Amino acid sequence: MSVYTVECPECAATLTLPEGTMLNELISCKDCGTELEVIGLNPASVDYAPEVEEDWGE
Amino acid sequence: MQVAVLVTHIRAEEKLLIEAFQAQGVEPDVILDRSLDFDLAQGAQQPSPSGKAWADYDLVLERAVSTSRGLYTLMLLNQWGVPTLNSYETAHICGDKLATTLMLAQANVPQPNARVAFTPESALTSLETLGYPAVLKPITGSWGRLLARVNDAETAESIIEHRQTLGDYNYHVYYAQEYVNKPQRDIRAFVLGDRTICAIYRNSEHWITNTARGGKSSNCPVTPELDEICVKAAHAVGGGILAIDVLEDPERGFLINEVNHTMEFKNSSAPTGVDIAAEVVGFALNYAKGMHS
Repeated sequence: MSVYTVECPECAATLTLPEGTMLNELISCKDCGTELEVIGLNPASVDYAPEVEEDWGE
Repeated sequence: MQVAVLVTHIRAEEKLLIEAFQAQGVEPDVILDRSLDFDLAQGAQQPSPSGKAWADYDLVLERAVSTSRGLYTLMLLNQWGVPTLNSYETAHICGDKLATTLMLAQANVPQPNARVAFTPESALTSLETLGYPAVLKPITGSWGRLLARVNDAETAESIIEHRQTLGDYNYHVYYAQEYVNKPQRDIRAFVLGDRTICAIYRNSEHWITNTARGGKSSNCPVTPELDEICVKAAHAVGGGILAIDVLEDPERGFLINEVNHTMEFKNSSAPTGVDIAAEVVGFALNYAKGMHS
């Protein structure tokens, strides 16, 4: 993919998705720190990352 | 080679693993656990979310952050003969602290003393027998969630009362472990099959040293002694791709604290100098090839 920009749904900051960004990758907003999930690459789009659930872990 | 990677989403670890597969000439299918929808009677010939039949995969690498989704998927796939890492057996044991302790005990692997009880009254008795301070842990769970250091009976009563109000019955299984007076750090060792590939110290002034809780990582040399106990622990729980948490007891030496079956490692390659993702992928591809030979 090329470099895309998206808007943070929390604070409206403009975020750059670098080369190599993957679908469903988690990213953090550089301005507000909100955890986001890349839900589209062409066109690029992000949404809030899923809330951590009780059974999440390693 | 047909490989699928089962994920909840792509974290740093999954991205590194996918890139490591690609470096080996394998383009894995990424399968989101939220998209799973199994016909329980149809078996491995049914299509996976990628469109390929599950039976077409030489290996499914389970990297779901959701323990329940990962476990049940492994159960189904293993029943249907689809090779996975880790196996359902290993994941099931590692996902349950009681089962892990039991299997380690049966293999004579050194570990902290631990007890289990099922009512508030018997839990207090259990803690008294173990001695204070002790650690109450949820029977399932990760990232240091709801760990409680219990310094005395009064504290124990309060924590147990709180646990009783939690709706999930799992919180009413009282797994208690002796508190090990470790030197402000523990060890996280990475074991692939029969080999400890590297290890880190997780340093913290807090008694909970998980990096998810702020523990700082630094390289820990893999001595023959550390390798031996970690590989023994890995075998005890069924083997595979595992992260072993080790405590250093001033008198007894290494004790196995926990074994993790969907390990996080993004903070561990830099201090150890080991490309953990490449090692995992190399192990996984050899495992898949071995399943065909």
